[in-house]
Amino acid sequence: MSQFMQWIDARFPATKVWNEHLAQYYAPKNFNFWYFFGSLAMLVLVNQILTGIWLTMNYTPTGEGAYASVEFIMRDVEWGWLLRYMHGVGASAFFVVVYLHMFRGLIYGSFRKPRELVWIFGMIIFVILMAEGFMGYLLPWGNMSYWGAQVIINLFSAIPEYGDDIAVWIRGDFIISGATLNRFFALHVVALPMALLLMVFLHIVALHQVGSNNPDGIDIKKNKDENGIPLDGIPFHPYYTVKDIVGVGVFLFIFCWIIFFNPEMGGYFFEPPNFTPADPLKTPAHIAPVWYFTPYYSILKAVPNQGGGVIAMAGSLVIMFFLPWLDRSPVLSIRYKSPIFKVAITLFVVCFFILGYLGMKAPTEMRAIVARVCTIYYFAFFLLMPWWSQWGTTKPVPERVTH
Amino acid sequence: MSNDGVDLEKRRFLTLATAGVGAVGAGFIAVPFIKSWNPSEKAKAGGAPVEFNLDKVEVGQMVKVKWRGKPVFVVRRDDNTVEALSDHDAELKDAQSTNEAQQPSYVDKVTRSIRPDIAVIVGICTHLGCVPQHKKETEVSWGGGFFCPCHGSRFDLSGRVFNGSPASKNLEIPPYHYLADNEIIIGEDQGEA
Amino acid sequence: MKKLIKIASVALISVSFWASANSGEALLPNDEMPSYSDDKLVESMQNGMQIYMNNCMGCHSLKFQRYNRSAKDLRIPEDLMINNLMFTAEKIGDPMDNNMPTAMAEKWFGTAPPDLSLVARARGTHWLYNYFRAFYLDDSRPLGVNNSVFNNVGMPHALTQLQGLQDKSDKVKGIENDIDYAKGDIATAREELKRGGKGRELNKIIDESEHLIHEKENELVKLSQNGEYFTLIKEGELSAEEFDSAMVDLVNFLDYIGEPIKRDRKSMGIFVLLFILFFTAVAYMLKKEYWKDVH
Repeated sequence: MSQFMQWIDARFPATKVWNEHLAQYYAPKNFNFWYFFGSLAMLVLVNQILTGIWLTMNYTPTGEGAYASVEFIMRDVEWGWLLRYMHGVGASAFFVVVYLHMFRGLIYGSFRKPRELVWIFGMIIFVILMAEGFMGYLLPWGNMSYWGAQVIINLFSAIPEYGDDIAVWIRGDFIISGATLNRFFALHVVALPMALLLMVFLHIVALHQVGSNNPDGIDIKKNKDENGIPLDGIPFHPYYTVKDIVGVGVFLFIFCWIIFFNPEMGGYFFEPPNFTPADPLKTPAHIAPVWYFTPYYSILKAVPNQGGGVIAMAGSLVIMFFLPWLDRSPVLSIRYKSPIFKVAITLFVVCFFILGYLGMKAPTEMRAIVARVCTIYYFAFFLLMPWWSQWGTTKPVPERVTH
Repeated sequence: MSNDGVDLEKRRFLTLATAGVGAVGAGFIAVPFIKSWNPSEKAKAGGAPVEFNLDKVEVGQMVKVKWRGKPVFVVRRDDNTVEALSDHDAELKDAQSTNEAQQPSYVDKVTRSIRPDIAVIVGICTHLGCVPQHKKETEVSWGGGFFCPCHGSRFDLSGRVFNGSPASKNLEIPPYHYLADNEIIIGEDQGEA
Repeated sequence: MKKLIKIASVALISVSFWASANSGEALLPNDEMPSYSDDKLVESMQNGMQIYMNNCMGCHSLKFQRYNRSAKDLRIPEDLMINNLMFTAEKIGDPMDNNMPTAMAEKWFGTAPPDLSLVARARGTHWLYNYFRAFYLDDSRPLGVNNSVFNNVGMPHALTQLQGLQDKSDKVKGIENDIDYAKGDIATAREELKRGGKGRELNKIIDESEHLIHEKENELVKLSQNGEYFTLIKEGELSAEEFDSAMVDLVNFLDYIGEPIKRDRKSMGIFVLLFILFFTAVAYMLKKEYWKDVH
């Protein structure tokens, strides 16, 4: 065996990579619940790619055939229903896991120096993921798919002067049609997954260059033993591999419960109007995007001007890229930050949820006002962070991690 | 970190147990992926048994029937042809149809049919899957049968392969049975509903 | 760990709350459909299929479903299916289509009657159950009937032979009249407001009328709960109870057609969850063992 590995290692750095990224990658020993979601995101990514490949084997990306081919998968392909549910529920699970992963970064300051690039790569992943979700949602060619895409593509018509032409160019037709479906299919199954895999690779390479943060926000490389190993670090393998497997088990339990007992998730994961074929002449009574887009959709609706709404929605994503330079607090983790931070972030989460809820609901005057207040807070949270993050008194940060 | 008092035995056991249960789980997960490659319900409906009226076939003629998307040859042979089937055993690779996978058990070993005059044969060459051509006795010097244009395999009028052909198995006989004197159903075994 | 469990359970509870919060808007009638299980459910679906094939299939195909699949899942012997329930198809493996040419259908009916393979998933069983029972006499409509769940519906009352014909009860008609008057009052008041009428008085009229409408609507709900929403004006082949039960069967059948795997996936799911639970338990012991090293 060792001879075989020597042969390999002379030609390919198998052992070196294994050691650098697993067996001798020292991660802080005080990871908590929030640290499961990175590995879970990887798991869901694998799930999406595998089930996605298998779905393309029976899916027909044409206006005439798409809807019927999905029902063909659901009924006539052996186990096709399970592959589809794994993919559809997986899409929602991906966003659940990624949102929690991002929130972890937010509360423990994982985006702060020297992890700026880890955060930026992660944000790029998030944006690609949104594009994946959006384009994938058109593919079943249900009426909600159709009109959801219609509304979102029409956002581009807000661009002055060239807007309408750009919207036509994106659709490849004057309405959403088979041409649109076909190009979305190509992007969804080939281009974006490749970009996603590349970015995930870079995200991890960047992370392993600087090392993982931890709930205390302490640099464990400051305290090393005589061999240069961080005193508060433990090798990722086996300690975190066995721990993540437990996380995988718990995740799969919830994931499978949804797939087998409640795949529509009350109409949030699979929306009822989408069980009617796409009809260019009939809009569903109430159009709402899938739940993971609703906070941004709310921001879009909150601005009483089409162009302004589009800018605000794009801005709400762009602003997050700059987070590493907005936070000026002397400490990283919520554990040692001033109470002001705790209040600010709690309010942020509340606003995000309210925006998400309002994005699903039909607009009323009252709701529009609430959405505006939340939108203003959303932007104030980020834009004023350079100031408010310096207010208040922080707690002293210990030398060693608390475990 | 300390490694004092580590129960290596227990660790090895638990590692194996987790890996074992995990492998079983991976096996379960693989099932839908593998089974989804089976013929769909649509394909199965398309591959349903086909009924065929023999009145359409004159003596010495061959008619092609499509079953599961494959050509099935139905040939009506006269008494002379049937007799001639047993006079060239030495030229055949498998004169007595010993390869049981190539025909149902209820057909004769020489005529390779239920009724001697009617031959029902899957028209796919056992070499590399081309469709052989039907050659009458009068057309060729080797007694007539089926000739595959792709690589020159030859089969006699009961689908048995001649020596010197690249194919090594006789042509396949599909499951079939008689619904009436002049009516067969292809794709269903005798006695099967 | 305790904290973890707390977080997880809070998350689960909120998720399930959030999932159940998506119930439909108010219907009239708004009756709960009884739910069956096991053999009773299968029998109900069989009966539902018979009703469907005899009364609905002529116009509404179920083209994504195949006859043999229905036969297998509903435990109907194939020859029985072929002889009694297959009117348009030739082979048992064929889709449940009705060969109605779409263009012709559009000419005949204005719009082509939709395929109903997925109607139970799009509308939900609760809606369907009430919709089927909500056709009533309305001379103002081209087909002479309307539907209180699907207002101005474009289809005839296909099951009138079974149900007979019902009309809205006198009480309901009276209340609806009151509501119409109140709406008229509001409209007039708004008009006058625009023209510069006395704000305080007019607003008072609007408020009172809105209040009245709200109360009257509640009365309608109560009437429907007491089964006094409709009165039968022409007897059908079935009694009211029999018709309701037939509609349960029909909805159960459509629910099955919407997602044929539903019953199977639930029974499978229990096994899957138990296996994952076992795996997680073993993995947890492994984690515990290794993490003894970490102090």
